[in-house]
Amino acid sequence: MNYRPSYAGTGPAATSLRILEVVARFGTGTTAKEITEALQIPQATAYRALNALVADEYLARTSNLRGFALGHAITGLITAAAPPAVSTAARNVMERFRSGNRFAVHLIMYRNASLRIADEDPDYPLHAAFEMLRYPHASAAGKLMLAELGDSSGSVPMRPLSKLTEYTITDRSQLEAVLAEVRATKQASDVNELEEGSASLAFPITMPDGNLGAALCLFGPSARFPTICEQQEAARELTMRMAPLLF
Amino acid sequence: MSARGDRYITAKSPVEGLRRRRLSFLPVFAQAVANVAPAGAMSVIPALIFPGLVFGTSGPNLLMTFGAAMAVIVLVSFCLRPMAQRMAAVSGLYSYTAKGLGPRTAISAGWSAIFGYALVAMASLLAVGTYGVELFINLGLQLADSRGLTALVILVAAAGACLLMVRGIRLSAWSTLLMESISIAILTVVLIVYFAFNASSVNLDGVFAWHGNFDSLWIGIVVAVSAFVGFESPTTLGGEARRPFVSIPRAITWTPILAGVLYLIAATAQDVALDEASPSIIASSTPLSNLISSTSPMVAAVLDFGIAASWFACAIASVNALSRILFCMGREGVALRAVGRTHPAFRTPSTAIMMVMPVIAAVPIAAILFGVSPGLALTNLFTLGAYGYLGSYILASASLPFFLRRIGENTTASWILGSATPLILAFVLWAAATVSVQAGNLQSFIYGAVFLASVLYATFLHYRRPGRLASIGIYDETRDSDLFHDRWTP
Repeated sequence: MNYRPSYAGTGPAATSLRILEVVARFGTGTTAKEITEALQIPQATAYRALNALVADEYLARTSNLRGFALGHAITGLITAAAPPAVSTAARNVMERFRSGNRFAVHLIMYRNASLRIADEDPDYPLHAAFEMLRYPHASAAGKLMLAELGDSSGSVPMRPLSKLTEYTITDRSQLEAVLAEVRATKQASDVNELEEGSASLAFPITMPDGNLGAALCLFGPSARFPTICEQQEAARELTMRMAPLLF
Repeated sequence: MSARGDRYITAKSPVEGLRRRRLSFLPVFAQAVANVAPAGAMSVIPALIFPGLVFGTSGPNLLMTFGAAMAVIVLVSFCLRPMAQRMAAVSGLYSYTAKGLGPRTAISAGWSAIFGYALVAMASLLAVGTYGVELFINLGLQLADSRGLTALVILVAAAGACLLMVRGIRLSAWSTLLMESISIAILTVVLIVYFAFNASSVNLDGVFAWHGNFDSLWIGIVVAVSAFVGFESPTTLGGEARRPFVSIPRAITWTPILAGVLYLIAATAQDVALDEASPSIIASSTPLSNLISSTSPMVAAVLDFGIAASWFACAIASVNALSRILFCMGREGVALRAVGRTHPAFRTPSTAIMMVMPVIAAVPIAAILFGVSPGLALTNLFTLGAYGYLGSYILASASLPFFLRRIGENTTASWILGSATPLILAFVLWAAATVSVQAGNLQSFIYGAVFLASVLYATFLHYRRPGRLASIGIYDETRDSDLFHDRWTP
């Protein structure tokens, strides 16, 4: 296996990251020898880094103790950094829906308890994209995710809920009530909660196993929220068509 | 076959049934410290090396003996550490040896370790009984014959230990931590106070003087090593520790150093204190307590409590480690299958604990009831236990380079360390055994018989049950949940 990393850092942190990269490329069962050869680093350095990575569970040893596999601790980093892939067929379906619609239509995907913007409406870019990813309790798509997670999973941040606008729900019990309603109606909304003057409606797109995988979000001015709600039927029909194209 | 490669990760762990990945660092560390029982050892073992009972006035220098023992044990911990960083063992040195020197040698290492843990557990219970009774006497209880009471204390302690161990590793680990902290604190305070009051009569010249001979030094080192043994016992918690590759190497590295420092202080202190004590105190089985009792019975009672607590914790820690080795052997089929069972609710190797505990309680009770002097019984049990530990240390430290070579990670340093350490250990063991045999002592023959029996058993397995021998070496393998998963669901 010939592999040369594009950038060769030398510090301990760089060594650790390059080792993770090699294990990710070579796959489960990569041995310490293969790693030292691929990275051209001294054995002692490699063993020290490998033991530290195993200790912190970024790597795990395979049953024969010779090989390495990516450990559960790396999950968060990989899924948060990797952009979700959306097929052309799915993009085309989204495009057709947008052309017959006067509101912004975005596709949001969920991975490891975080939101990823999978397909943004080119005509109406998301203003509050950062806030949406960061504060799920304030947006419709975020509420769908929190409702799916439930309160037992521990993925809902325990820190105080940030107040983005004066309408943002910051009371935990009030949020729980809203999430219960989201679970019952299978849709979530936000009016002025994420951003003053804007409203959104989110519909779940489920995976074959029935779990929440993505959401279709309609965005518009908050004054026109009733009109957004009129799109419900069409949007739900779209989610049914999108599901097999995405998962 | 999935993208992760099923052939590399087993679906079901061979040590299923134990409560996995729950113990934080402190209880893991407590397992090591409790098994070493520094408070108990500080007050019992130097006195065992020191007394005229064995060597007369030509006893070896305490500081030198303890310093040498500490150096030997630190070498062993260097050998065990790389293996602990790589394998989440549930049966400690037995697993390491199986992976390094193979299953046949592992049987001998396992039996030696079990022998060591069992003997130290027996000695601990005996010490609990002796110091428990001493506590009652210092509180003013008049006894014509203390044997019945000692036996009763041992029985109660054994039952209590059994309950704690079956109930769960977290409960027993935390209770040992508590008891060990109390006893170390008590002992430190008492020693400081004693010296504060007797400062004028302290004479340090004798401490650093060399007036022994090398023969007594070797046997002294073996006894002093027995004050450190047990530091490796967290290696049996690989399945249960939350971050086994961090907490276990850390615990086995720091415990000998911590204990060594405590011992060097205590040895100095006792050398000074007992130097001027009357021969009857030196020859007693509870010298430190007797010494202080002549000043204040109340302080002595507190001290007795601390020492008894330390030994109680040591008994728990020893049997915790022992039962996990037996549990693995049961799972592998090289011991009774029944000992491989775990408690359905508490998730501890309860069958192994329940089968071992009566034997461990019976020996000290029998010794007491047949009128053996507690001091003599303690010396014999500890020394015998030390033989078992040393045997397992030799095999496990010799395993290091082979273990690393098998997984393709051997280094020059590992070959040097893995050959020097067992040689030094073997030399100490051999020298001690020679001295002991010349003195007409049966200890080395008893351990020799156990070792021989293990070799015969391994040979029997090799020819008659090769399948069982091949299954040796189970440990807490990586599971699917330990691996990276690309989860789409929130």
